[in-house]
Amino acid sequence: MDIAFELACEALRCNEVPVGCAFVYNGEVIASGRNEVNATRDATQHAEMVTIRRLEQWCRNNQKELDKILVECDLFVTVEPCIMCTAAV
Amino acid sequence: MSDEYTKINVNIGGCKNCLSSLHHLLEKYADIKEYTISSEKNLISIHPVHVKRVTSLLKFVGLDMKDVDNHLSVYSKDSKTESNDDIYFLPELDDNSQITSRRSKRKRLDSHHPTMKQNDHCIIASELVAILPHEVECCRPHLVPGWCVAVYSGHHLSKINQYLQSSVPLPGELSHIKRIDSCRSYENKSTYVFLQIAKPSYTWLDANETLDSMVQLLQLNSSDHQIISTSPTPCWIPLRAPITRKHQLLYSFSNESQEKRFSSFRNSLNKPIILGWPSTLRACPELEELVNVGRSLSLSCFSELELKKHSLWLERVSTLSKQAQELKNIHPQSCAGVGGPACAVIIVDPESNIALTESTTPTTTSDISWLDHAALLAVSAVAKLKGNTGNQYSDSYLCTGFDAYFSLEPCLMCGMALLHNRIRRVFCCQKLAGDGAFTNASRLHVQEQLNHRFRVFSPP
Repeated sequence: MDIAFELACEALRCNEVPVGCAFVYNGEVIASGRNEVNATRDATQHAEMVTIRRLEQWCRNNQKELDKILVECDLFVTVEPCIMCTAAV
Repeated sequence: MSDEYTKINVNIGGCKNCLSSLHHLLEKYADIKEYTISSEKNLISIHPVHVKRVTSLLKFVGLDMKDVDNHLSVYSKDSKTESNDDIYFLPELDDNSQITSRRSKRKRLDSHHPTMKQNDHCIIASELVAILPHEVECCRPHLVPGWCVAVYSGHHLSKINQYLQSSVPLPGELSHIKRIDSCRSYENKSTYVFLQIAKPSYTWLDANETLDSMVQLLQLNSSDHQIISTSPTPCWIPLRAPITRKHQLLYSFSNESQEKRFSSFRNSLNKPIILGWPSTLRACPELEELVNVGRSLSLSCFSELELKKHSLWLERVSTLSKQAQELKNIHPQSCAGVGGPACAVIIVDPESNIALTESTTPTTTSDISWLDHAALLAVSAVAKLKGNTGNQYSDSYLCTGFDAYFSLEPCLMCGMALLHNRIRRVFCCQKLAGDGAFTNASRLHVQEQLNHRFRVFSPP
């Protein structure tokens, strides 16, 4: 949660909605991200969406299957996910 | 066992008016405290001693009930025999009579990830209807019990109205109720005047007392053709104001077949039961136009020229999804889930009628993602397109003012993405049962709690 909070502070400094989140697998942070709506000029780039895509990259780099990893992951996020991100998760 | 609550399934289907009339019936009329209503699960949990009474009331007002738990046999002897006014408000043959002018169209499908087939039929825009809030689509009259009295028409009606207004004023939530039922025709030039909502604090005795006071003070009598009956008449009135003209007609039971069917309702005391009541409609022409989309061309908000434009885009999006369907057999990014059909989206600027982006799933990019539904790809493409112009903090990255055409209704993620991007209208060729964002219980596009609302059109 501290990592997520640091990311939220970073988002606030960059004039973003201050949301940060991290995926934890076996006690290790394997993906993290913050809100990037204004930076990318894409309203769908919420923290959770950004982090899920990075999680998918991590799975590809480590030759793991996403569905096996995802059921073992914990998501830490500073703000309750919105409807879009909840559906994505 | 005695502390276990009985569960009653009621199909209110997301309508807030059904929920509020249900609360009124249980709490304010029946004076029941031990109950909970779960509108998500369409379930009432109630103390077993009240089940018999509540099922009779709910059956009468037309809430479809199933699977009443088998507690009636245990508690039928212990059912409270305290005096209440149900004897006035329920008809004699309450097992056969039910106020359901139309069977509920909405049935909830419990299947997860249904394997949907591609529609070969290419839909045209005139077949689409507007997807509106549950309250607008609900076909129930939302009746609650009340008291009225039969009088003759004449000049004394204004005196009666003034007296009732001062002695038993209507609560603010019933401001849509017209005190005098002057719209419907009864025999002998008679009409009905509404007294008050039935409550534990306003029973038949209280209504009778109000009537006696009124008769004495205003010096009314039956021989002078002023008042017909000297006892209150039970009636059921709509709890909520009508939203559309259709509701106004429904609530007043002025439809001819409705009137014939229900005019002979009598309780076990052989007294008539008045159903429905004239209500004041605050007209909303925009909503009336939306209700008529796909049903009446001249009253709809779309002209024939507009429908042709929309039909062309819908045809285009169907063609795109068929082409994408032939590319691969697996579509991990379908809104219908794994195994669902290919999806296609076109985002159009309606002012210039130019397509800003077209996207389908699956994609041919190497970094494929499970989140790459067609809608997310489309809105990201629009964001990149508009992001190349303008400065960093402009609002131009949103889909403000744009239309989106979908081959399949978006899921919750894509529907909410469209909301974040402030889309203007969405047209769907095919509904997504169960998981769709717009035509199921969620109805993201008409949520009051969210900071954007938009129009959605789909097959009925």
